[in-house]
Amino acid sequence: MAFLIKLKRISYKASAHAYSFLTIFLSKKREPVGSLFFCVFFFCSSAFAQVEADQTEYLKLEPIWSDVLKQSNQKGLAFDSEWLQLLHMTCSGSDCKSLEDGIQFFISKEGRKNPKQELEATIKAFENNTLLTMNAAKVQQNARCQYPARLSFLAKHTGGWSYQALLAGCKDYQNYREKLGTEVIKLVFSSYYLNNPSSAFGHSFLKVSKFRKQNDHSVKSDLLDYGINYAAIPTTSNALLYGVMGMVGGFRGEYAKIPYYFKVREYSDYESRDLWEYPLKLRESEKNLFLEHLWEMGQAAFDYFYFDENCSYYILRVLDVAAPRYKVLEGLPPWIIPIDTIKQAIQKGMVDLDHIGFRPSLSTIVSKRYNLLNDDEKSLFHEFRGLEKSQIKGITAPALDAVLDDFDMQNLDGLIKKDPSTLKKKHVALLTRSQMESDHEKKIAGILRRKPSNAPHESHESMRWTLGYRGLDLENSFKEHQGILGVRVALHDFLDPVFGMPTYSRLEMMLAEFYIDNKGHRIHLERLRLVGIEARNSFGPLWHKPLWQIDMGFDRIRDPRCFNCLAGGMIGGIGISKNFTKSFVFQPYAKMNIALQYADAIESGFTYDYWGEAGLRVNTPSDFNFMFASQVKFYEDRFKEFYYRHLVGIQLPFSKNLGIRLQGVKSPYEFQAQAAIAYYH
Amino acid sequence: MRKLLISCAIFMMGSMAFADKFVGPAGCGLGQMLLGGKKMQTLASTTNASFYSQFFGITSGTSGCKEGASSAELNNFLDVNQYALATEASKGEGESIQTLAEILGCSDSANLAKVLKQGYSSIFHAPSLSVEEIGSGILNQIEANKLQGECTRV
Repeated sequence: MAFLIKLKRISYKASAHAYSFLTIFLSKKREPVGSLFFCVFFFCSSAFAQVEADQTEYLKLEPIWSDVLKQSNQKGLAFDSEWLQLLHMTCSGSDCKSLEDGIQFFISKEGRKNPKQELEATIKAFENNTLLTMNAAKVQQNARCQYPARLSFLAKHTGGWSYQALLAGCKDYQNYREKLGTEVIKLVFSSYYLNNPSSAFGHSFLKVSKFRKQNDHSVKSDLLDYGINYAAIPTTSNALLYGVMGMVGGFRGEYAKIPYYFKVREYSDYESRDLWEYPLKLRESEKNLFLEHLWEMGQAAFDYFYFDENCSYYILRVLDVAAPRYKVLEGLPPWIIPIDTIKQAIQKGMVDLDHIGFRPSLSTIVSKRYNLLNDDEKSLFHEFRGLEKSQIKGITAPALDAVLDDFDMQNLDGLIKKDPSTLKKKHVALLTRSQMESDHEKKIAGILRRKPSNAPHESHESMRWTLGYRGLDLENSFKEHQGILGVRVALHDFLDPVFGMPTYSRLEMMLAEFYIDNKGHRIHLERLRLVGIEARNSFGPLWHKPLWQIDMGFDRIRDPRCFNCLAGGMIGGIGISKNFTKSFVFQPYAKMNIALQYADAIESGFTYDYWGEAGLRVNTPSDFNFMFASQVKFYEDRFKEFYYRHLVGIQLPFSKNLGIRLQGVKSPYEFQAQAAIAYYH
Repeated sequence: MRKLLISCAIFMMGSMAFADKFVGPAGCGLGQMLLGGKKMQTLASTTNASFYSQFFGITSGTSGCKEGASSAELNNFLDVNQYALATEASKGEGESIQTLAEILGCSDSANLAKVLKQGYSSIFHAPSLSVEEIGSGILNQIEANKLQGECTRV
């Protein structure tokens, strides 16, 4: 049977060639004799195909669609794992469901639940060159052009016929393939930036690079590459509704391709985030499948859930379809923050760790430029900073370059909005710079782009468990030893190992600590921190940002208001801090805090307290952490009844993900000494 | 599992960078998009597609922009990178210049950089310039310095 089909195919081709041979021979156009013979004898189609445009229909390598359908039934392709992957479908037995939400993604009515129906509808649509309407731009497109990965799948599994020729006429798709090359695909992590809460946990996306000939000896620029993002498309700007809808999947999520220069301006310039690039080890066929399937996903829509299925997850999902051999989604915890996408890919062997790239943020560049200036130039920098002076004179090129980048950083809004005075200042300064000759820029280019020694993927794992023991002595209450157990979903506090983490930030989410009393052996909640963020920005000489803090959750009150009652609410703080060393941390700080809480056990229910705190934090090159702080505490309107509360903490690392943590608290009402093992995983 | 509001908001906002964008009159107005959520404006869209999909959708071409396909690439690049480009031109060195060289098909970006620095005051002759003015200023300098031979896509 197969032989007959093959014979049919060959004879079909032969007659097509014969036909075109005849027409060429009879028409005015003449091909060189050599190629004519070659084509006739060896059934090659390409040379002839170009000659008579009308006849090319016959020469496209059309498969026999009824045969394709037959083979797909015989081989049970509808339930092939690759097919299910393309549909983002999971099946338990014959009960299937797709994650894909957009109706346009499926050709058949029940496609979302019925992979067989979808396969048959796909084959039929391919056979008939059915025009389908694309979701976003309402453009009609041939089914083949819309589903190149599905076409590829069928070609591979029903005879290995060539499908590329069938896509040659798909203008939009070919345009997309021309723009998004497949030299290398990278996972990119944009680093933590606390001064913008939405950037606090970083972001991950993909970057697709074209092959570029290196014309001159300069570094290849990647600004024309494309970033592949997954983002929610909110339909409301109401903050509360936005939060709720996001949680319940009320927003649609879509994939996007964004010119890399845009992402660089957005992350590097606008948000001062360093970019780390992790190249992926993918075969040509996998990179090809990635782009084919991404095109299909272009009109797909998924319910966007904050946690389970957020941006990080969907980035990995596309990679999983393209390169299932890595099983990159396997073992992924339900909660995933952007850095964990990178760590997961690394753990599954997908990343080329020898070629990690780094792009410094504008903020990092300004710091580096400043640190390279000599003392005189530093004074010049401060003198001309902000470009307020009408004349830019007596300044060196290096100092002016630092001033210019700093100006861009501080005035990006003004520049984009085309504020006249901002533009005027820049204009004058740049005219001056254009008349300066200096090779300083060439000399320091390498230093500016140099990768830091600690990369974000080398940090401790995101989740932390603590297990230990403490002595708790509450005045007028009880004195006992207790077991303690803690768990924190993410991410980092000032005693956790700093390597690979933002140096001056505390970023906590879902921290729960329990203690077990040794009388009744009951479990009590010590604290529940829903979210805690603290930015201990180092003050000066370049940046003058304050220390700020916000915490939300439940804590134990241990003062005359109530001894050991649980209270829920918010804590805010503001202050100042400075790191006095360069290569490690020796950072004193001072701040003012206020807590607004509600406690059942307190008569009035609502309560507040406030305190001033001064302390020191030390982190050594071997990642030994130490902190000490003293608080002057007041509660409610009892100004005269202030008291002191002292805190101390040490963490010694055994390894990156294991350490011992010792903490102590002393106040007139409370004494605590605790030792715990901290395990990150 | 559905998780907590605040933490979700933190992740969410990072990824929702492009809601409700403003499109300026020149080209795609990509530069304006950098302002992000700070500038919420109603958009003039002829389709029901979200604004984001129009420009950044996987399946979108440059259909959202008014110019033809060839100049759109240059104009979009200039729109977003004009400030970096101006700074680099004044120094005669930099990545945006290399990228510009690629867009224009120039074989040696160092030559282009020299031309831009020497012609800086001619190209960037005023504090505020439109994307078209910058583009034509650059092209004029290329021609004046006889660089068209090297820059095949000018």
